[in-house]
Amino acid sequence: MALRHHAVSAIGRDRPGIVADLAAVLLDLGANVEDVATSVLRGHFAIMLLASAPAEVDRHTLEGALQPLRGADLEIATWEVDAGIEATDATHVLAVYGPDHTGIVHAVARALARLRVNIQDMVCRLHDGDPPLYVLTVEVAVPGGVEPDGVRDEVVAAVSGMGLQATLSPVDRTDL
Amino acid sequence: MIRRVVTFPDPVLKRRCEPVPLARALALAEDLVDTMRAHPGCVGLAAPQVGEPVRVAVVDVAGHRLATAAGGLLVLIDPEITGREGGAVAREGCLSLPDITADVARAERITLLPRPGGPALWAQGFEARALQHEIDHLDGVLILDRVTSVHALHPRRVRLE
Repeated sequence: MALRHHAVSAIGRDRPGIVADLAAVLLDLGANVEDVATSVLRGHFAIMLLASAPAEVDRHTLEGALQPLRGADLEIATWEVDAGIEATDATHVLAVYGPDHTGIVHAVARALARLRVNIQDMVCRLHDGDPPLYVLTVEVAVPGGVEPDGVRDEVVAAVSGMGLQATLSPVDRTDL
Repeated sequence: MIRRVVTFPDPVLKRRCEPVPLARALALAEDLVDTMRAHPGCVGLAAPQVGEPVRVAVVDVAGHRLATAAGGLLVLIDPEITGREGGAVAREGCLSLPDITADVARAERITLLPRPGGPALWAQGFEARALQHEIDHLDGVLILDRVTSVHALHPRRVRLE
């Protein structure tokens, strides 16, 4: 039986029950939750998920079923997606840290994009302290033919003017 | 003498430190020991952490619950790691980054020269980890430079005081 794949994202004021409500809707439709990522951003719960559903569950059906969950404190978006896209593995971890500054994410992402380095996962946090410590960590896939040292130099050049440090380390994989 | 511990973003923490004459190194090592002992739970301290960009550090993991072997107080003067074996990831904190901890990959067993031309030392486990952390400081390398993934950083709610 052909399946449809749906991406669902939701963000709202954090409270117990958001995942339970979303999962109940998907279960009622016979959808299987495959990939999920969540985070809490300054008290806002954010979830992204990919679910496979029977062919008759199209986007319109899914939207209708999710509608009652929407409210002042929860935004939900859905898309039908192609599940056959191949993913790449991260090759390096980039850490950028120092004083907080407007434009850090843009400066780093622009430097990476210019070298066709793909961002796989990214976390930015402003840690308590005097002064507060801003840390941006990014898992990236450096394509073949691109020198990792060149990527590091490009990022250092992009952020050193803002007083930030940047380090690029290879992802070590051990098979046990 | 107990010295004030400097914290990031003090630039002294991000530079490569220089060797110093033995007499000055030993005097500084005494201060490092006093300062380390003044912070309960602290198992090592490097000269840049008290504002001195020189290649001196101390480590003492004796009595720490994670230590499986301990050589007591180790004074490092221009040390050099000469061999590394194995690898393990564990959470580390740092007096110079008081508000975070990080999961850091280190060699499980190391050999090192604590002083140039001195006898070699062998360390493993938690003691080897502490030695690698302090020797990193002498090269301006912090735990933030060694995070293993985007999920390797953690806010610290209970601080070493």
